[in-house]
Amino acid sequence: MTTPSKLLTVDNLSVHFKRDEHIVQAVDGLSFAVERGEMLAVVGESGSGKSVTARAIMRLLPRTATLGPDSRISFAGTRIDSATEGQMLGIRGKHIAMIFQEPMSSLDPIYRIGDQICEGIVRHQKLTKKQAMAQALSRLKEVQIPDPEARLQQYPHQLSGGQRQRVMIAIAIANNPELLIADEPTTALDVTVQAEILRLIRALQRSHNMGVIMITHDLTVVKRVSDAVCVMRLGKLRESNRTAALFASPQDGYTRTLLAAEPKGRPRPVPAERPVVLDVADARLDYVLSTGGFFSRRKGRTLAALDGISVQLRKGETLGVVGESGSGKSTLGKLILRLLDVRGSGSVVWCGEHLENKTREEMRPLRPKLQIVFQDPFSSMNPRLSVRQIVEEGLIVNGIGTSARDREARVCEALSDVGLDPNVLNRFPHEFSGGQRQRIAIARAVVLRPDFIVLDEPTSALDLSVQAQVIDLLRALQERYDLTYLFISHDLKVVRALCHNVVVMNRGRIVESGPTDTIMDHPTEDYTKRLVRAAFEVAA
Amino acid sequence: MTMVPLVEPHLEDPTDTSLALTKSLPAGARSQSYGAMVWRRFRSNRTGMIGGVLVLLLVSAVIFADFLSPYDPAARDGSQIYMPPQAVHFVGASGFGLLPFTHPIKADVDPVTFEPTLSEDAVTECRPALFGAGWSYDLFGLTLDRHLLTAPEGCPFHLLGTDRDGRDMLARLLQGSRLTLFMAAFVVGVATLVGTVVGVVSGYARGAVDHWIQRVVEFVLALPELPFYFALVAIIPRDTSPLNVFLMLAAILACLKWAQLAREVRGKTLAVGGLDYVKAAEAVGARPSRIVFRHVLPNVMSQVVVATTLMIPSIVLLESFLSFLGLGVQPPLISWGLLLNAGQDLQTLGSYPWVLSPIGAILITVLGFNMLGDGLRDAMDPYHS
Repeated sequence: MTTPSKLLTVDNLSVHFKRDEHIVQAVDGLSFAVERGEMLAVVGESGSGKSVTARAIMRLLPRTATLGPDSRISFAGTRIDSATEGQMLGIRGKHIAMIFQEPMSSLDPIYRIGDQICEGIVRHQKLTKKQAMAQALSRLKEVQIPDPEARLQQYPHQLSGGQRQRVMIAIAIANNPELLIADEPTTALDVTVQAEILRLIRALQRSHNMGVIMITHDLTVVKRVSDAVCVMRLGKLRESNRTAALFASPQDGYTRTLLAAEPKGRPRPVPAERPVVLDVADARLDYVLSTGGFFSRRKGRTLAALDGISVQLRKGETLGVVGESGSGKSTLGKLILRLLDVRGSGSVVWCGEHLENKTREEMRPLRPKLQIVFQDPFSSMNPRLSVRQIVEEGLIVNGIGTSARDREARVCEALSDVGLDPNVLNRFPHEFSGGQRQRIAIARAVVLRPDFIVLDEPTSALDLSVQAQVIDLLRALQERYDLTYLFISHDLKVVRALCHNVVVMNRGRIVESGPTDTIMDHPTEDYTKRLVRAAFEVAA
Repeated sequence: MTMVPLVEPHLEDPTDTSLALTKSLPAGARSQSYGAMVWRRFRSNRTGMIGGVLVLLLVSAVIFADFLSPYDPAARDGSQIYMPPQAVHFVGASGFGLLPFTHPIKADVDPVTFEPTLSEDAVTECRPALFGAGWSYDLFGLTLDRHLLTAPEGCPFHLLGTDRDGRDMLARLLQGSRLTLFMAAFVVGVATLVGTVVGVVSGYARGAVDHWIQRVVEFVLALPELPFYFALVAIIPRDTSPLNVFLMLAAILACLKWAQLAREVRGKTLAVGGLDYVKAAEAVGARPSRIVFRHVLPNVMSQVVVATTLMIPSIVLLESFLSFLGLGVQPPLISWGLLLNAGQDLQTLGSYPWVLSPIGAILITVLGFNMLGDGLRDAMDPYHS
């Protein structure tokens, strides 16, 4: 069945998991092939079975997983789905290598970088430690890590996320594998770093003539680097084609939805005469990094999380706060709402009232007007409470609503505001998908009829198609209730679709600020330019 | 171990333009509350279920100890000293019967070596009476004298043998389970209450309060336990009644056992307190007391329940150990440790091994609670499967 020219053929792959009493079909009848020197992107949203496919090829599935009877995986003409564990040990790392999503946890923190690269080299090639080390150094040079000689002796914690991912790639290509499987290699990285890593993988693929399977949920990634695409949904293959052809004329309905799901539109302009409702002036916040312990006299080191931030918001306006991880954007949102354990300096004025010196008690009457939606819809809801209890809590603690029935009516209204069926009242958070949970979180804020909502990366944990829905929802709610948003995000596309003005933050400072279109189209600062290029440029 | 991303049970259909949720949930699916989910997961765990059944049996044995005992645990019988366990028979001269009976054991002394030889008198059948009247006892405020099996007058019915005063081991074992398990329940109850309160306060307050509470916890944890028990038991006056000694011992254990739990609960509280839903509750204006009781405590409770079930066997072992050394429960009270105290010397062990039967009971208790605790832990963390 397999033609020898194909590097990897996956034929009719089915994987199912046994969970509790029921069986979950993770992959269902998937077939594709990768040739040498080709990059195949496997695209899908969460639960589409793309990671399971990668692990099935590597034979790294947990024991609860079973392959279907007709499943066939052939590598360079040999079947590997029925190979023994001993044979797989000779294939893994030597012929097929893998890069994982999380560069923080896939390197062992107690070994030096050099030793971790050498481990695979010594395992598969008959080399002395010294020769292996020399090879490790050349691999590090190949992945363009700055100062490669010194890196050999360093530990993972001394490297940044992007550098760690480069080390992971160096480990993966150490034995010149014919096939590289990259499982969401850029998802955990900042946007500017993402682009560099993609460019690196593409370059290595060409120079080594490797086949690459790039697993991703990000269509921008696909468009940038891949030669062919497989679109997966709920374990099934929906469409596969050459990249250019697929983007030019998608055949499948789902693919079309995915392509159309890029956030679109612009916010409705806000008249200049509307009053300024929130005025943050010169906000500063220092985190004490180490107190030096109980008996130590050493002064603790501090880190400036916010360093003189000033922003203003008009009624009905959305201000985007953009920056990479560690820029202090989330801290700013929580500082405004006084949800931090520490107090900063500077002033936060909400409708003429100073918030920065209020105690927890004094903040309480203001809480219903100032709301927040968190990034992670999985940790932002108490798993023990039903949807009704979650949404109703704010009403109860603030004494809103005359009776239980009145409160229920308000909860139902909030749920239909966010596009959920009010019948879900008695269900529990674990029964909902990420996007639905985020709707519940928005309902929890909206039910209090707030004036101002801090949206702390509300879309970044969501699938692309769901992201667009949530953004439409947020825009609709803003118009209906005249809401003012502080929208925190690292995703410039989303910011562009939702925000009137933008501030770009880096290391606790504002780099650049102004109207969204001006910043996106004509960035002046280098940092902003890099962000914009990483987000909107397609060519690798 | 690599984690495969969880497959979400109800995925949104992005092609579905109506945003109502009803479509994505299977028709007729009923929402499961947290309790129902835990029970479903626990039920499918065979080890946990066995542990649960063992614990249930133990608890009913404790409650109905008197009813289940064929003899009065304090009744001595000079003719039945150190009798071995008697075999249970169902088929006798009159054919098969549902009621068990035993044959009395006769001890003949070899005239030369003085070695006792035991032989079963197969003719006499000692048939106990079902629900017969025997010694009276109190149960739920009622004075009763009925027993499941009442031993026949003048015909021995010792399923686990007798001790050096001719008292029935089975009756003493059942009676001893009360003090041993009551001690465990009391100590664990107090330790859980104190430990949970201290742990939640410490973990939720953070800062200086947390710092100083943790120093106190560390102090309690640093006390050398065994010498400490010895010293504390030594200061209990000699003429204290056995019941008071028992209560004081329980109090001492409770004073020392809360610290470990306080630590665990504090850690869990810190973790839960850092989650977004606690911040979200604060953001809607909930008071600290509401946050603690509605959000923190219920999510910490799984940890507490598991720690509690796993602490019970350790207290059972500790009690047996202390009583075995003569430090714990004093006669005429009966506990498993005290019963084992009778088997201290080699001669007794060699000649009358059945006095060690409390070991079996302790083993079953420890195993049962450990299995139950493990099962509960697996069942209660629904998001870490």
